[in-house]
Parts: sequence; C-alpha cells; structure tokens
Amino acid sequence: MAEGPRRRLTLLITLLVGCVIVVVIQLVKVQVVDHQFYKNWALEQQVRAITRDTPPRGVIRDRHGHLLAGNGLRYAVEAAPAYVVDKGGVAENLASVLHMPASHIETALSSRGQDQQLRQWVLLAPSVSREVGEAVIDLNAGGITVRPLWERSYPEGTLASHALGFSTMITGYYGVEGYYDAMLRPEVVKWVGPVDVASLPIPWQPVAGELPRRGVDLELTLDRTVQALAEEELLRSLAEYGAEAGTIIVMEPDTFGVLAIASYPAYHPEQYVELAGLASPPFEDPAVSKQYEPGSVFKILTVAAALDSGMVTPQTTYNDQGWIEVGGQTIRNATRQAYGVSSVSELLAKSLNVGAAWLSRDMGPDVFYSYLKAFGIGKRTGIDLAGEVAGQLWLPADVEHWHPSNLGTNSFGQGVALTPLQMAVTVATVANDGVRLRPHVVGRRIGPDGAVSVYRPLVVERVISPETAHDLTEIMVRCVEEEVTLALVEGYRVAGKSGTAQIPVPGGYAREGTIATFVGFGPVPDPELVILVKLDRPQTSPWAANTAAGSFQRLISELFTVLGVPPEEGRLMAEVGPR
Amino acid sequence: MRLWRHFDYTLLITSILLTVFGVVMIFSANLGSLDPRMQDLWRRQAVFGAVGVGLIILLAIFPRDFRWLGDFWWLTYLIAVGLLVLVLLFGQSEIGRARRWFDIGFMRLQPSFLAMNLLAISVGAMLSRARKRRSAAVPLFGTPKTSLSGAALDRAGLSNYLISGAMMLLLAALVFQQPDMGTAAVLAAMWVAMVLESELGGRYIVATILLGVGAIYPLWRLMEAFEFGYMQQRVLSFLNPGSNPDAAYQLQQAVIAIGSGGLWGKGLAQGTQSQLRYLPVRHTDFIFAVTAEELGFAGVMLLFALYLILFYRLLRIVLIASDGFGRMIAAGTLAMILFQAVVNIGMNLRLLPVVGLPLPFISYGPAALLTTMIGIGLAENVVMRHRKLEF
Repeated sequence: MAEGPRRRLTLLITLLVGCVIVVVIQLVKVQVVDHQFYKNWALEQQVRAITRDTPPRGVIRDRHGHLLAGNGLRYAVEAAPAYVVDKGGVAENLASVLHMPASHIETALSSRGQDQQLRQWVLLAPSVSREVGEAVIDLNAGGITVRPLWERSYPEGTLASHALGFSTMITGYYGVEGYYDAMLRPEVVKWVGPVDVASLPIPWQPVAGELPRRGVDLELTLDRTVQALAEEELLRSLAEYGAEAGTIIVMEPDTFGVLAIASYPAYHPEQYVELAGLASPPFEDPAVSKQYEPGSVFKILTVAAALDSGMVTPQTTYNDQGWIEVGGQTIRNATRQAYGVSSVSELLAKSLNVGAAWLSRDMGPDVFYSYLKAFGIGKRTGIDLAGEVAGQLWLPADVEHWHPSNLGTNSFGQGVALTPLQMAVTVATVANDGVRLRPHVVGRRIGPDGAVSVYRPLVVERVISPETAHDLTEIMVRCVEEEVTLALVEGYRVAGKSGTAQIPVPGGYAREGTIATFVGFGPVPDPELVILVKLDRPQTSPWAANTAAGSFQRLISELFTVLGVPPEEGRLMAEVGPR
Repeated sequence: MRLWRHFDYTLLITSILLTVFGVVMIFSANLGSLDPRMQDLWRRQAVFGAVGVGLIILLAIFPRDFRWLGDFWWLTYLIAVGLLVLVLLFGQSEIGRARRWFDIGFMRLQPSFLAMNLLAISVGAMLSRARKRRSAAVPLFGTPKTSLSGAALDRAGLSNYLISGAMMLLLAALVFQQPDMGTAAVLAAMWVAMVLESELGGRYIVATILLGVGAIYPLWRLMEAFEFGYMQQRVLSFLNPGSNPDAAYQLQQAVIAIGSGGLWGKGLAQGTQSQLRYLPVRHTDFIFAVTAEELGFAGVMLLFALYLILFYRLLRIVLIASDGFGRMIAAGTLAMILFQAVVNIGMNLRLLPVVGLPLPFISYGPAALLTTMIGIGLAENVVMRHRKLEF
C-alpha cells in the first residue's frame, strides 16, 4: 500500500480516538463526577405533589333527609393523541357520541407542539353527562380516556335556592353553600411521591398515605314541604296582590331554626353560569342581604320596651290628639285622625304613630335604644347563611346621623333599616318568652366518618321578661282579632302585627308604592311557628292588613294542618260547631 | 472453500453482539411504554437483525467478487438518485410535509439509508478508478484469472475528485430536501473519509477541509431558504437551550438519565428516567441515554468496546484491501457507522445539536439496521478477497 494513504489511515485513527476521548471525558464528567447532581435532579423531578381522585362535596339535605344539593357524576373526555392509531375513525365515532363535528376532534388529535411532536394530552370535552361518558368508555378507543368528576346538582330545582346558594366544581357561593364552603369542600390531599411523566403514581410502587376525605354533609332545619308551601304561597300572593317581589320566613320560636326562607325572584342554582352574566344576578338573598324600613311592625319593639321598662302597662292610657312633636318634628297617625283616650293595647292594635312616638319620647333615647340593641337591631343575627347584612340603626352617640326627631320616627319603623330576618327574629323573641336565640338553618352535621354533631340552640340574651312577652303576645292577639281580621285562623289563636312602610327615596319618601309586612306567630299560648311575610309594592291595596295578612293566614293555617298542630279545643267547638 | 479462510468472523460476531445489545435495550426502553405495540418492537428488531446477518453472509459470497460491482457504479448511482427522487414525489412520513419512506408492507423502505450503501459503491468506484480495461472480462462466478493491481490503472486525479464530489452533493441535496439534514451529513462524511483513503494527493484533502468550513454559512442560509426552520431551531436550541423548550427538555432529560445512571447503572429495566417515560423517543434517538442510565458507565464501556472491535476490524479491511475500490467500500462503511455513532452519542451527551441519526445496531429501525448490515456484508466481501501478499 502506498505511503500516503497509510499516513491518512493514521489520520482517520487519530480522528476516531479523538472522538472516543472527547465522548469518554464527557461521560466521566456526567456519569461519575456529576453523578450525584443528576441523580438528585432525577429524583427531584420525579417526586411531585399531585392531587389524586377528589371525593365529592358534602351534600345538603332538609330536616327529613330529602336531598337538596347533591353531586352528579360527569366525565371529562381526554386524549393522548400519540396512542390514537386511526384518528379519522376515532374522531368519527367520538363525534356521534359527543355531538361535536368530527373534523374538530380530528384536528385536536392531530395537533402538534412546537417540536413537531404530537401533543401528550388534549382535552376534548371538559364535562359531559354520565351517559355520554359511559358511551365514550364503551367505544374502547385506544388513547381516549375519560376522567370522572363531580358536578353539583340541585334535584329540587329552584326550591330554597336562596338558602342553598350554588357551587361551582370547587367553590360554594351564597347561602349555605357559601357559608359552609370550607366544611362542604372535600379534602384535597396533595400526595407527594414518585410519579411518571404523566404525573401518575408509578405502578410498581404501592401508594401509601390516606385517602382524601369527602366533604361534611349538612342537614338543614329547613323542611322541604314547608319550604315548598311557603314558596307556593309567595308566588300566589305576588300574583294575587300584584306585588313585584317578596319574602316569606318561617321559623320555630323555641329553637330559632328556620323552617322555610323563601324570596322571589328565585333562581335555579345549576344555571349559575348563565345567571352570573346578567346585569343584576339574582344571587343575593333578599331575606338576609337586603334591608328595608319596616314601618309599623317595628312598633312591636317600641311597645315591648315601654312595657318591659315598667313605663306603662297594656292598660295605661294616653290622649291621642292626632299629632305629637318629637325633636322638633310633628308626627301624625297614618290615617291623619285623632283617636282620643287610647290604651297601649289599642295603640298597637290600631297602629297609632302618635302613641308610639309618645312611648319612645317618654322612655327617652337611653332606654329605647338599649332595648332596640337588645333585640339585635343594627347587628347581624349571626345566621349561618352567607352575605348577611346588619341593617342600619343610628344611635344618639352618632351626632352626625342621629337627630332628636329620630327618636319619634324610629318608634314606628322609619329611619331604621332591618333585614326581613331581623324582623322575624324580633317577633320570634317575643314568641319565645323574651329570649333571643341565634337563628340557624343547619341542624346537623354528618362528618365523613359518620360522626353526627347536632346544633344546639344558642341563647344570645334575654331581651324582655316572660311577663312582658306574655302581655305583648296578648296585645298582638287582640290586634289580629280586632283589627287585622284577615289574619284570623279558625281554631287557633294567632298573634300578629301588620306594617305598611313607605319606601324611602332621597329627601323623603316615595308617593307611590309601599312595602307590606305581616309578622305573627301561633298558636298562642304555645307558639310553634313564627311567620314573616313581606310584599314589595302590592297593587291591590297599599295596606298590609289587606295583603300580607292574608298570605300569613293562608300559610299558617296550611302549616298547622301539615305539621299536625292541634287546634285549641274550646275554640274549635265554639267556632266550628255552630256552622 | 478457500474463500472462507479470510472471512472476518470477529466482524460478524461483533455485529451480532451489537444487534443483540440493541434488541435488549429496545426491549427495556419500551417496557414502560403505554402502547403495547411499542412494547413489542424489540421482536421486530430481532427479526430484522436475523435477516441482516443473513444479508452479511449473502453479500460476502455474492456477487463473488466485489469488483464486479465497480463495473456497475453508474447503475448503482442511478438507482440511488431514482429512489431519492421517487421518495420526494411519493414518499410518506410521520411529520407533516416531510417525505421519508415508502410503505412496502413488511417495512418502511427508507431510500436515504440505502443511498449510503449505494454511495459507498458508486462514489467509491469513481474515487478508486476501479474501471477496468475492457479486455479483462470477469466471469460472474469463479475467481478472476488475472488480479487487478492499482499499478495497472491510471492514478486518480482532479476529475475523479470533482465528479465524486458532485455525485455525493446531488445525493446529499436530494436527502436534504426530504428534509433530512442528518443523513445528508452522513453522506458528506462518507465522501470525506473515502477521499481521505483514496490515492488522491494531499492537496485534495486540504481543499476538502477548506470546502467543508466554507460551506457552513451557505448551508445555514439554505436551511432558511427551504423553510426547514426546525433544523435551524435544533441548532439554535443547542447553542441556546432557552430558545426551544421542547428540544431543550429532551436534551435535559437525556443528560439527567445518563448522569443519574452513574458508574454501574440502575439495572436493566430499572431506569426511572426511561421507565417513567421522562425520556422521549427512548427506543430510537435517545437509546444511548437509556443504556447509560440502566447499565451505567460500565455498560457504556462495554458498548464502546464492541464498537472499537468493529471499527478496528473495518480499519483492518481498509488496510489490507486488495485494491482501491475495496478500500473505498470499507472506508465508506466505517465512516457511515462511525459518523452516526459519534453524532448520536454526541447529541445524547449534549456535545452536539439534536440530529435525528440512529445509534448504529442499537437504535430501533429496520431500515437503518439493514443498511448497516449491508455495509458490513460488503466489507466482508472485500476482506475475503484481500491479497495475502500485502501482509
């Protein structure tokens, strides 16, 4: 062989040896010198915190165990495009099941990332029904996977929507869903351990650690039947009296547990996405999140304060001359009439503004406002519903807002704002012998381990003495029997008070429209139900005695029957018998 | 059978050992794959390995004399050009517009691989001036009566150099067009190696080196002109890992796999990077990383030892080949295997950019494996007919 090529062979060998040396040096550096560094890096990227299967959110039931908020199984449809062999065929099959265009699916299955490789994972449908998901499973197409997920369902539709609120896949908003969100939420356990590139625990290593717990189940004091009847009555009243909105609250006076809390407009919690897009979503509960000037029903508090402070007895009289001046402002009766010598009892029954202002003026602001505060006016009741507001009560100490004339107007429910719930709580306090409890909607909690914790009524304070409560109750019974006879219930003694409130506008009160409230309880002497009916702008009559009182009467009679409250024996004989 | 005396059994056995090594690594690499078809690829590689061994033996004895092939250098070249043109017109691939192979039922025929063998023959013939005078007709079977010594032929000159270069460039351009930068580079490397081992004078070598350096910039512009943006991207990604996160991710996972393997490796089928699928394209481009992770530095050294024996045996053939043409075939084959191995391992070790070249014998791919085996077979044919007098 020639000398030249032989030398070149040496060149080729040198090149080969050079390559080997470079490669081996790099190998030694990576595999031997920096081994620990890369070993740690490998471990580090393999150990990841991942969320394993999420258990469902706690369910919400009524007091008899009827499901109000549950969880529906749905599926997310996903694909690992690299493992889909016949993309056209699979897309065709999926299209008929998912009701999506096949071309759309095929595009998703064929899309490529920056490196020209097929994507590792694509989401084809974020949430499909259980039937569709199972149909996808039945297709048994390689590379197509379904992932189960929970979606909140409300089997009773719009029933108790304001009390329940709604929940997305993760977070609850408004009502019980919002208030108890942390409790209802399932535990999301971040499991830390070695995982493969798709974040799945590696198959040959048993997964230790505890399973995440599901959410706490709640059992409400709400009664599905009572709630349905209340909502039915509300809709009927709105139609019958031509009112535009309204609220009905039904409570148990001995526990302050809410049996029904209904407001119109209501909504279907499953449609929260669409509703959230509205200009004013209907999510806020008017019963706890909106305040109004209650009007004459507020006289119950004024009379309670006057009686309990010892200033008057039900029989104490005053001379009603049709007007009274308090703090420089003249106050007249709603009818613009003078009633002459009237008793405290008549004052409330006939709803005399002059008499109420006389009571608050003579009591003085210290006594009057201390009673209002004791009743919880101007403070949240503490009910377990999201978004409760406190109402508005100006006190004499607040020189900027409070004027001596407030003492007069406050006495008949003007210049003070309450939520419907606060008004119901006040009357429930009277019905409960003067002891105010904290209202609540959740009666029992059932933990994921089955442990039950029962809500124990919480006493806030004794507001008035049992004697005062008793006297006031009798006055309210007389009010129904003599003045607001529309509220009379055959066979039962019921106590109540109507209130027709003007609607405040800047600088005074609107000429048109009133808010009609009737709040009452029965049967006396052992009341089982407190009911508040509030109707906004009824058209048939401005007076609550002609509208809300009728709603109260129909609902409470129906509930006495449904709940099996026995009628008063003598009365039944006396009134039903002769007919 | 006097011929078999010179058959290089070491070369054959080393090739078989490397193929078995590859089958084992493919089995391990795809064990963690989610796709059952991927898990079965090792069987296919084993079958093609067996076919390849058959090809080596077949090529060693038929045609009886490799020099006969030299007479048909123009035909082999035309076949190479024809196949590459056809694949550009009618070829398929996994990736968008690229045209790489024909589906011929039992396998994918990848003309760019076959072009390497055909280049070794045709360009090798051109560089060695193995054209014989018409008088000495060689029978199809049987030993030729007169031996063909280099002295009887014209010394290779400028025309050989230029024509062979043009031949290579046309093939490389066609392959580049697919687009397949890696294989085009292999063709160029084979030509350089063959020029190096030819009878051409030293100035040609210098000219080649200068040409190679001067071609870098025009090639770079060419990548742009042909919209092979991803090729540029790969290079850019290598120079600046932040610019292409996907490619950078692959390289990173490879180096983590290699580094975490350590001296003795994590054990076959025990590599976490491989089995947990952190490493992409494990059975092809990154099978070296799988090997390094699972068998460690020791396993890689074993692989290198097998390669070095192979290269040594091929160099030996270059040295003892009876004539220039035989030397060209051996040198071409050596360059083909060596260049692919260096580029692939360099990529795995982040010494070179991501170029889709297989690790010869080891990476999965029937076409690549058969091409390598054909090269070994041709080399065997050459060594069986070497002139003992040289030693």
